Amino acid sequence: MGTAIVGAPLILAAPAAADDISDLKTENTALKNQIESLARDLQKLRDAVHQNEQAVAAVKAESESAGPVVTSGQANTSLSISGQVNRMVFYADDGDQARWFQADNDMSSTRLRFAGKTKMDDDWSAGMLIEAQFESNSTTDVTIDQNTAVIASNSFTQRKLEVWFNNAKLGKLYLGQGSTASDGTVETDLSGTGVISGAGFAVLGESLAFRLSGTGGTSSGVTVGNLFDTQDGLSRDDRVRYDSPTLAGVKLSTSWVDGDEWDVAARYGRQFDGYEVALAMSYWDASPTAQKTGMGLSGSLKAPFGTSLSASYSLEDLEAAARDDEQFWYVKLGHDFELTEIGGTAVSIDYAETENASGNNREGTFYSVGAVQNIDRLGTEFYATVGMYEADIPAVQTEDITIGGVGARVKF
Amino acid sequence: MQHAKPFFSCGYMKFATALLVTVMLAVSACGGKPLHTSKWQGTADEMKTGPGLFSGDDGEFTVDAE
Repeated sequence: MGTAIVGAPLILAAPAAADDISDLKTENTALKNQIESLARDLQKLRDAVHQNEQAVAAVKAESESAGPVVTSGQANTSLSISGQVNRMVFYADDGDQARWFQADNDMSSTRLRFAGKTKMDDDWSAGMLIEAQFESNSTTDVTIDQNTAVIASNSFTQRKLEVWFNNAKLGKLYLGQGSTASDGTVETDLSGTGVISGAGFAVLGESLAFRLSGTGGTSSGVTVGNLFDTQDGLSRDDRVRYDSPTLAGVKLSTSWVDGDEWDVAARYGRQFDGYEVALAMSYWDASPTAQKTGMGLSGSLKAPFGTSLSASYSLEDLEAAARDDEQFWYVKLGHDFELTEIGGTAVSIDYAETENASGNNREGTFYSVGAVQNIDRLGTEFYATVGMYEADIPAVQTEDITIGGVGARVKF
Repeated sequence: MQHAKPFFSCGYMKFATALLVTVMLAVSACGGKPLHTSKWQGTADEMKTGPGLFSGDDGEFTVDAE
């Protein structure tokens, strides 16, 4: 009886335990299924994350390549944007007054350039160039008496507005506003100080007037620009210009300029065992517009150890009766070297003479020293100069004009 | 201020012109290697070639079409 009583709960409990085990098994199965499902979902998430990482890497790689920001219907086409800012603290002393100016260095003015080109096939290409300068208080325009930045020089001025067509064998044709064939032929210079020193030096204080000696500052009526003119051909103008292909370092050019002016030029550039040679010469006819013809030549030689010698000469034959030829001479000795790791250093000393500029028997003399320090990583040149203009005008005595300054040209 | 007569004279310059032309023709026949065009084909007031502050090694921002 006792056994029965004791065993009865056990017998009654057996089915209950079995039910629990069954429930546990069922629950266990369900949990296993749930875990497997979660595992599958986790794997899907991992796969999705991996795909996203690959997509991000692909986008990053594509953006870092030279892919276009904009699209064009024309293949093999590019548009380049470039420019520079060139500012200096400019000093002038005309013998009566001295003054400091915050000026734009017109040796190479502040400007913006858009250049487009397209390659049509292996031989033919075409392009366009828009270049404009923005000058505030240009060194060309400053005068000792000014009180504010000269309004006329706060300008947006054309430099080049042209199209061109080039064939590797036939040459290059330009149409529009730009350099004529003779532009630059009196300015050949390998010295490395061109940003502050060169045959075009008269833009540094061009509007400054020579003062009569002993008169308390009375102007002679003759400015730096009157007495010092590089006579660099027909400069920039509206023209059609043709350049020949370069053959053995020689390039020939000619242009037909608005107003029926014309010019021809020859240029040469070559290097021999580290010696660099650059030569240029030109002839221009400005008779229809300015009643004069002219010729110019310049050359520069630079040795592999950095020393350079440059020289220029130009002459303009004026048609006006009783006017003698105007002549310009220029010579520069330069040297460039690696003073620091940040960029090259260049120094130079130059000298110029003019004769009969803006009047018979007028003579002018100029000399200066200049230095340039390049900072290659910043696309920047720091520079400094000191110079002097002397005038020899018939029947009058004038004070010399001293100029100087420091500045920087930054190419962006 | 009176200054000395200029050193150069027209006669010397005519000779120098003829000499320069002769030198150009003679040197052009003597081989050599090309000189970068920016050193002898441009004008003195051109922008300097080389890298720019923001534009990098090319010195210009370029948009290439596809």
